[in-house]
Amino acid sequence: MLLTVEDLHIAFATFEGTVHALNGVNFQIQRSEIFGLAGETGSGKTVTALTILKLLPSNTGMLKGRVIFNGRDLLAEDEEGLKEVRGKKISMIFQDPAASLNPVFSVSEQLGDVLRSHGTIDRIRQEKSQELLRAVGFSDTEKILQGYPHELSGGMKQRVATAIAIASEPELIIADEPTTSLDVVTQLQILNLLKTIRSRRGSSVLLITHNLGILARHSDRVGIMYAGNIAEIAPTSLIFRNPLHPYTKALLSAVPRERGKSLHTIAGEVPNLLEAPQGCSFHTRCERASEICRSLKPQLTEPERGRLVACHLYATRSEDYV
Amino acid sequence: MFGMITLVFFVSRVIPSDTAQLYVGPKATAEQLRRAAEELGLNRPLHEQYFTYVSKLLTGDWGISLRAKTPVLGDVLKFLPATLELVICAYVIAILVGIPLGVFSAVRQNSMVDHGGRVLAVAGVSIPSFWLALLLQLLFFGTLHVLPLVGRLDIESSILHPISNITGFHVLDSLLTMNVVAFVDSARHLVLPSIALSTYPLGLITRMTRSMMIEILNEPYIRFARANGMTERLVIFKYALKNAIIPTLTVLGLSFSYSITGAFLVETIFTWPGLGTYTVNSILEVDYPAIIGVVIFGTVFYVVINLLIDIGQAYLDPRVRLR
Amino acid sequence: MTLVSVAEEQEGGRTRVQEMRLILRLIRRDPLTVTGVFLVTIFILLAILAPVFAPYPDQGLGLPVPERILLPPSSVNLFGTDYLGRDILSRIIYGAQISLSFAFTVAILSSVIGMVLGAVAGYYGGMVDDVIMRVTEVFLSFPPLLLAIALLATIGPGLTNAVVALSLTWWPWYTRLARAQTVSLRESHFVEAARAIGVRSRTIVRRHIIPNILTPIVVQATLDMASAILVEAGFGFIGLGAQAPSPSWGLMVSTGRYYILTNWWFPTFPGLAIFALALGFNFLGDGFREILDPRLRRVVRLRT
Repeated sequence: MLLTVEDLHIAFATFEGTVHALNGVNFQIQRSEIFGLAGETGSGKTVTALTILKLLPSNTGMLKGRVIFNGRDLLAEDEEGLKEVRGKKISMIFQDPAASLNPVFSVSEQLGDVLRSHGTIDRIRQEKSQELLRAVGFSDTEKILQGYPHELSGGMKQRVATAIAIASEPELIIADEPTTSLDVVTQLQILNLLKTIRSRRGSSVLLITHNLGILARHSDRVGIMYAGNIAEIAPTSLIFRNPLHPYTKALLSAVPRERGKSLHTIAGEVPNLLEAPQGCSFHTRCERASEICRSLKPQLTEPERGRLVACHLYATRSEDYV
Repeated sequence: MFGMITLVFFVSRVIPSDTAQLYVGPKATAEQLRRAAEELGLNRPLHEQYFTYVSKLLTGDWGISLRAKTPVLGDVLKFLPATLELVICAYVIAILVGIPLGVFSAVRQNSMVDHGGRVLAVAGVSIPSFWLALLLQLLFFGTLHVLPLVGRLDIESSILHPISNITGFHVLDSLLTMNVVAFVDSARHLVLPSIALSTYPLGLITRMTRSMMIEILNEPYIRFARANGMTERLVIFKYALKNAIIPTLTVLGLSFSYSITGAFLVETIFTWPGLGTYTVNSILEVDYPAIIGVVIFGTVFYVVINLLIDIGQAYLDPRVRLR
Repeated sequence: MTLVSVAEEQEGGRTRVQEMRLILRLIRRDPLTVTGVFLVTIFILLAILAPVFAPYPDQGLGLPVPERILLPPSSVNLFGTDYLGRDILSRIIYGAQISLSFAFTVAILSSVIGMVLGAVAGYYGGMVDDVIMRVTEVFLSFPPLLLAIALLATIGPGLTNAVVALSLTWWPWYTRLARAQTVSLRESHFVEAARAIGVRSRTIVRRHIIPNILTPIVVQATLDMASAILVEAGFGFIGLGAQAPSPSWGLMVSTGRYYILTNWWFPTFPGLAIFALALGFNFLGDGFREILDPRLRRVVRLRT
């Protein structure tokens, strides 16, 4: 197992109060797999991603849980220890490619500086930079290296960002909505790129997005997040054909399929994260909610092999409630 | 620029005051007055006067100082190096102290250094320079007797070890001619005035650097760099700093361009023979050609510095270059 | 096939009263801003109630006391006496009137003139914009202090003249600021809506544009008050501001400067007053800027 996220709780202190962003997130990522993490805006996907590399802002409050990578709990590491991991073992790509690159430095400088930070010696830096750019699909590497971020298109910037992220052959690449601000064609380009990196270099990818279609086509397993919790985890093929969690079911049914039929929406609203949740976070909107859903928070159970659900409907044994 | 010259011209001709009278002095006879008026071209139609004026400006004839009876341009250039030396020194101090302080303050927010830095920054822009100058004189000359009171040089040493006038910058000139005594002397005289003059830009720089650094450090590309393993030192001192410096330097340059004429307060207290003192004296004695000369010079300088700032910005910030 | 989320209820959920209370809470949190408020308030009180606070009001206004020349600070004269025997503390208190009235007048004059011109230029555009900005640019091409001094030299010294000179120098900055804000506001939805309903341009500018560009203007004006204090002191120092026997702080430092080595209290205390008041305004302005800036967008939404 490459990465294990265990019982993650994160809260932020803001003017309006304490925002409970994550309320017990659990999932695992294996080697060489593309793990998709889906959820609405505000469900906690980005927070989870940032937590893994301990990049949270300073007003982070309550922090509980573990992130185990290669046997070490990353959350317990100090800056020194994290330096080993960031960029070299785990790297990250963000949603807005324009915001990933520093506007006043050229591509070669930024790429070079990351390489230098990873310990690559000067002499092979130039060569390595070109190699990386070729790996992400650039043919005229010289021109790109001399260029500045504002001279590149969105897709090109994202590719450069990806080149930076794979600079030291990390074992895990976290891609937070890497394609959301790109056009469809470029989206495909980037996603295929990630797939290639997975197969050729053996890295895993944590693909975070709200676009189920992307996950259906590009991920091996999918985790569905809702209001700071994991609702369901399953292999891609299974989860779309046979969703278990009521939320997943509702999501999939909300997808427009046939012309003429009215859109199915999920009744109710996303819970206000300012209040610590009671019971199942979805129970106010769930068609199948019952008494126990209101009071007791469901844990992740394994009703079938390889599938995890956090719902009282699937709790098979009382030992699950530990 | 031309608008400025026109405005100045208008002001000097339209505001009621007898230029000719001033030229010849209060005891002149009517005949002398008439002749002076003619000489100064005051009887010619206004647009002709304007034309003559501008052409004279461009050829370097800025008129004769009413007070000293010497060419204005020459005077301005004579007093310029003294002020420049002082201002440059002050700004160097401000930059050397301000930027590190601002960076430190931003990186260690809410620490003692940060609070101290913020207070210092605000105090810097609030302290009246002339008051600080007086206090410095009191402390370093009056009480401690370590630094001189006024002037650029001690009278003795300037006689015994005269400085050859190469650039007009005493410190530089004495260095170039290996005139050690003069070097030490001119340097000592520079200390207090530059400190007094540096507080305002120091405050500006510290405040700007700090706030820009804080803003920049929250930018996504910094997070991206950190996430992908860039060393903290590179992140702060190269990546964040360069972005933060650009607007700071602009503000700084602007402040510098004002300070050539704004240094007069400090100059007066230290009897520093610079442009500021010249300006004030001209104003107090209502020496029109001189005043106008200074205004024009100050504005030209201001425009030139602005130009340099724009060029500097283009150099540092690739996004600007496209335009 | 994307997931659509329910709109967040964070924006626009607060009433004006709640917003004000939030701002006050924030102000109280920052010790520097609080100090600023404190300092400014003290000086304002001193200025308004000068006859009450000053131990020797007539000396404050200029009455010389020949037998008490240049006495060091004592229980009788807390800050000592000046070269005409006048109690420096009283002079400083009365001087507050000058400094504060100067600062307020200049700040208000220049900001109002500048703001209106800028809003008009930004909103109407076209030739109006061109003319206004052309004039503004001419003024902006002068180094400000120089311009002010040159103006003063032409119209003669004195406090009122100084106010005029400085206001004439500073208004262009507000114009530029106001215009930039107006131009960006012009395209916003509520302005479009107002136009669509048929509200007259004049009213739009008055009711919609100006309230929303106020915030950066207020911040700038507060900081300018600090600068005005220093400038007035500078003017007084070279003798172009308020004239003797006026208790202008700058004038006091100027006359006192020759006594720095022998009677240090004479120039020191007035200078301290200048410092303190300028500091107060700067703290205040900085505090406003920090508090109002990120919330600027929310406040804008609120006022429509």
